[in-house]
Amino acid sequence: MASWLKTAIVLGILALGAIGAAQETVTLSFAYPTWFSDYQRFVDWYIPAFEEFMAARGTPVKIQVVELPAPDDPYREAVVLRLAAGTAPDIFAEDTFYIPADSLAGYLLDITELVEAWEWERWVPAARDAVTFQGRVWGLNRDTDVRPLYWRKDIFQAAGLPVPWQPTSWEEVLSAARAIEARRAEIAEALGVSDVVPIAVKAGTLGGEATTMQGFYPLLLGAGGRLYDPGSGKWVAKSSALLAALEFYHTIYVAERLAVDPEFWMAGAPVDKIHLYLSNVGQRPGEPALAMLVTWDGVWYDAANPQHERYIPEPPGRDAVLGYCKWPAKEPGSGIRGQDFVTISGGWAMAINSRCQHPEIAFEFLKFVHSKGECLANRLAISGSIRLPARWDISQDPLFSQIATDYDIWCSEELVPLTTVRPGLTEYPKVSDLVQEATDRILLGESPEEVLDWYATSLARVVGSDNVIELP
Amino acid sequence: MRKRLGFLALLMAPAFALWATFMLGPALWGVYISFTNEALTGPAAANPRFIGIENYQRLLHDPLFWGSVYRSFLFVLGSAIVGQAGLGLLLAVLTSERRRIWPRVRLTGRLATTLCWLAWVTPETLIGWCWISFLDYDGVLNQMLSALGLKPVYWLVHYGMPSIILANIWWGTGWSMMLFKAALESIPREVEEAAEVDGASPWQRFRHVTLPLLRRPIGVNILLITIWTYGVFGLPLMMTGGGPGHRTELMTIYAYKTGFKYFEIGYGATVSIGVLLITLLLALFYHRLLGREG
Repeated sequence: MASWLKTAIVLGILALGAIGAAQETVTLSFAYPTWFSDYQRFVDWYIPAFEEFMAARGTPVKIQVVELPAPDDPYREAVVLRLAAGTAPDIFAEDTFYIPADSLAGYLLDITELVEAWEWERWVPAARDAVTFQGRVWGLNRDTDVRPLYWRKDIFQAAGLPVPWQPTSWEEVLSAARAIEARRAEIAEALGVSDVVPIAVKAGTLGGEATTMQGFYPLLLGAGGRLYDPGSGKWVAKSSALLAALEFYHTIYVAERLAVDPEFWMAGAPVDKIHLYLSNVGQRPGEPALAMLVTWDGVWYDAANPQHERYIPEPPGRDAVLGYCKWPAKEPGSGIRGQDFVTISGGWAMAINSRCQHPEIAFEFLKFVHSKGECLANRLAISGSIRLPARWDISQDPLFSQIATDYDIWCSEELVPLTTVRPGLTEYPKVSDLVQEATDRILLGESPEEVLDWYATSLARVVGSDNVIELP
Repeated sequence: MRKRLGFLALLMAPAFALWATFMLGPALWGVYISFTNEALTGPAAANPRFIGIENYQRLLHDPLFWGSVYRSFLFVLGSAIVGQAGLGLLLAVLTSERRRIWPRVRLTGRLATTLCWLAWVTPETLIGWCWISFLDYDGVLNQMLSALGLKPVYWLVHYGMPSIILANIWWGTGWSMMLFKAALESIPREVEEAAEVDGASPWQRFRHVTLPLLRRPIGVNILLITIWTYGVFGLPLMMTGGGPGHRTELMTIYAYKTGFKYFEIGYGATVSIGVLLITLLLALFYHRLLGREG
């Protein structure tokens, strides 16, 4: 055989081999909360589009979706067990308050260099803080959230209360609740529901993080307190604000019974149920309607989404019955930093498993999902999916101001300046568990003082007695 | 002989390998991590340390653990010893075909036996759902009460312990009943007949003849169901999740929560070993009791 032919054959084989090697598909596993409103968009759009995009770039990728249990607590348990066993997905979403513990456990990939080489300077400081721990970046977030007080215009009108409404103290909230309580049966009959509940504040261990974040925290911040005192670097075992928050629970659940029965929070899936009460305008005649609730800002969009169980049917429709306002401090000026109103922010991030074999490709997926164009497209596709953008170049984009509703603008102009975050410390999830149990104890009939004593003792056990402080 | 032993070992090897992989290995690992601060997240997940008996000292002073020990004791006493064994014995005597307590005993007795047995072979999760739908606030029991004009009650919240005890009696009585029935039928008829001829009343015959002869099966059964009942986990977890607060938190639920809710897997292992030691102690106690009588 001619030597040129041999050479050609060898080269040909090598070339074929090289193509084969280049086209070997990389598989990445991916977990995202199935109960999030844009979960389906990941399945239908992000993943196929990303796979096509990468194939066109010559690095074929397959993203394999791993469905984990819902909602928050079972999802967390499933993620942690898989992380500990080394079988967690390559890319996964997690609530940002778990980042400190998981990064110290060595589960998360440090993506600081990757994000700094990309568009990190376009993230707003609050969004950066949520995914930063000990000066390093451990995940990317698309949005953050705030917590307004929602109230029912129809119930307020029926109770002879002013509409629109913006309470400026807890006393005003309570007197509105008492006014509704006085005509509870009458309003329920007019609405065609089984009962009218004047107010609810999320409570109990079954509520999980929602109890701490959307129930206890608005009260604590409104009384000017915090769980962790950054000044002394210690956890707060006792303070007048902690007591005031517990007392508010006691007032509405035990002393005056202005809320759902305390037992409501001790069985089944109470957090789902309370939102159904808030959106009940008679479409579920066997269930009560709820007049006031502090909860996360996404509830507003669900109430106008016919596919969602929290949908408020037309007529009357969401805008006619659901009002929103700021949650007041105990008295004007008594909130944290002397504020008149308070709220708190959190949100989820997408992280890369430290065991991921192809971190650069995983980060390509993060870039794809968190790019300005995709975030805007997502907001167009699903109302409210990017509520308070983590990227300032989105909020400043002319397109975003076109698609932003009055509510979006209200949240970012009125609530964002007031907001704060949970302590970004590894002990926080355990302290949060204690807070949930403290609310349980109020519901079970213990006095606020007894519960505070219990909290102080338990806190010292959980974080160490050297790490607690008692404040006036 | 030697050859046969080798052959036997060969036959047993697969079973032993499976047992060692899935039972012995994890058990030994559990003992090991109970001496460490191993956690599923946080800094201890990356660098677990050997901490000696620190976890055991913590266990001794852990009010939640001792609370759960007390609740488990109540649960075993109420649902296993009084409930399953007591009710099982009663049912066994009532449905015994030899004794004919009531005339149509054959049919009703067999029906009762079948129903009890059916409950016992039903999977735990299914039993859990049945009891939740019965005792829940919107459940069958409250609907029945409302129909009678009575106020509904939060059974699982206010009567948590009685609820899980009742459910476990309902679930497990079939076993004790079958065991006692078999034991009853094996008592020689002549002994009881002789007592009858001597003029003993039915109660006297039962108390002084039948019961002493049943002592050993009763002892063995109580030993078995005590051990099982200390290990019951899924049913109470489904019904109350250990709540409200810690009011129905049994030892098993506490061990599970420590490991998989609070992610302190090292201390969770310590709690499990505490559970094991307590069960073992009880087993020894029964064993000595039985041994003395035998």
